[in-house]
Amino acid sequence: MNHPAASLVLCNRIVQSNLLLFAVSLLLGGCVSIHPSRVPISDQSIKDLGPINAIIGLRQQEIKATAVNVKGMGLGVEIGESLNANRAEKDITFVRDALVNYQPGEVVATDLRGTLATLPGLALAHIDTRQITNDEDFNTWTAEAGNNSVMLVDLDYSLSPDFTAVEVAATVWIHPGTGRLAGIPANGPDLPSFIYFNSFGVTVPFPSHQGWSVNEIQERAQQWSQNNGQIIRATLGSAFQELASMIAYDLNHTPAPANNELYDAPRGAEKGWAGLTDPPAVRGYVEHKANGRIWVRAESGGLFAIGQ
Amino acid sequence: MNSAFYVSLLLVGFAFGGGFAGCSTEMTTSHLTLEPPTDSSAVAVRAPVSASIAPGTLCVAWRPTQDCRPDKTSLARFPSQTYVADDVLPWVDHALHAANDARFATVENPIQADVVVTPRLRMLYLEFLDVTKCAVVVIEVEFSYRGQPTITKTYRGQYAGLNWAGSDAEMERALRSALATCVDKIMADLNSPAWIKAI
Repeated sequence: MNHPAASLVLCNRIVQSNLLLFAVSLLLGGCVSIHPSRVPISDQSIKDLGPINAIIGLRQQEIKATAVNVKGMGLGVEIGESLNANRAEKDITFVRDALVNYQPGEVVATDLRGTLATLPGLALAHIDTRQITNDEDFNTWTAEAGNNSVMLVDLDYSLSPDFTAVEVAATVWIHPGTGRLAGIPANGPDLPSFIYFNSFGVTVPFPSHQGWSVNEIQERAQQWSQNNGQIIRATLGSAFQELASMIAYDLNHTPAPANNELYDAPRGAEKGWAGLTDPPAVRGYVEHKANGRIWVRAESGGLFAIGQ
Repeated sequence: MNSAFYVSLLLVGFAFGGGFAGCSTEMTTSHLTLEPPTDSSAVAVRAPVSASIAPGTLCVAWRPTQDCRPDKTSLARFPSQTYVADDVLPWVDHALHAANDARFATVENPIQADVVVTPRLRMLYLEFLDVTKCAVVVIEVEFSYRGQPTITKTYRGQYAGLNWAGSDAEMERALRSALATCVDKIMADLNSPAWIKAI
């Protein structure tokens, strides 16, 4: 089984694509085979984990604008996307300026420490935030922890292309401490073995009670950032809190399907989706509902939160 | 909502199951060269001009730029590509000093200055959005006018353009453009009587 970071290579190649890579990435669609990605952690493994050091890892320095889809194919589309991206980069500066002193890693760290404190065997001995510079960081950080196990949260946060919502994504690994457990071997010399993995997505729209009434993206950026970013900070805070809750929930619920099969909806479960595209990008079933929020378990095992 | 957001996560998820066994690539690290120019003009702009200051000219003293970034080498990190640059402060300082305007004069000694400027490099990074490359520079500047309490303002410079080949030179040009934009904004304030009055 491959380490997820090997998959991230391709994923991020698409995200960072230049013209050549973009074309190549389209051709690589055939490489995908459908298996669940989630690796749940067993009760016995939790007992054997020992002290856990958590690391919130960030690859970005500020909130990101996200891809702007232009329908069609060809150079014209790519130029159109580039123009849209240029505009998004310009417009998002209002939000970035309002968040210039915001520390997302610290917010997630506080939330995660709180949610995991309630789970036996998963309370964190230490947690900090670091910038991910290189793949070797993962090996270095795990080695530094010695006998302690390491929970690595690879965090990403952005505004949706139309600036109507914040989107938080995270992949979470748990690497066992030295001599504690036999982890799943990673695919690559720079990556440590692991005993838990899953991916998470949280989408939180602009709070409707704030009188959302503007249509232009630049005006939306200004509305997010008004009062020194009060709204964007609160919305990001809400998303990070939910992410921490989802990680805690996922560590404590839902065993893997038998025979490495996909996560199909249990009998009688409500079908769910995430994303407003048609058809939705994520299909699955509703696993949890509370306070207007829905958690969708995707076929891959990933957990996605949507709602008001 | 954003299909790319979900598709990225799904790619991570599904690919993890073993589908990319033949598709993984090695990590490459690009060391970008962000240094001041080495020709004589680079030296000239650092020379004090105190001896030739006309009466009424605003005298500005620049303190060295402080590096306040949490990671002082990384410019961008992707699983397949990392961009780094070592010791960028001389590059930033040179850009600030070289941009001096005739309407104010640089002095070496802060005691002789009307305005003491303390720049802090907060962010310097690259990112990629679709086929676009973006470079961002954020500098926080502390201004002190004749010993008065300081005022701090944050300046942002950025560049966005088509990512043609992803070459190191292309990235360096993008970062230089972003820094130049940022420096222009700082200079615009220093050349603004209204801003100087507000300090």
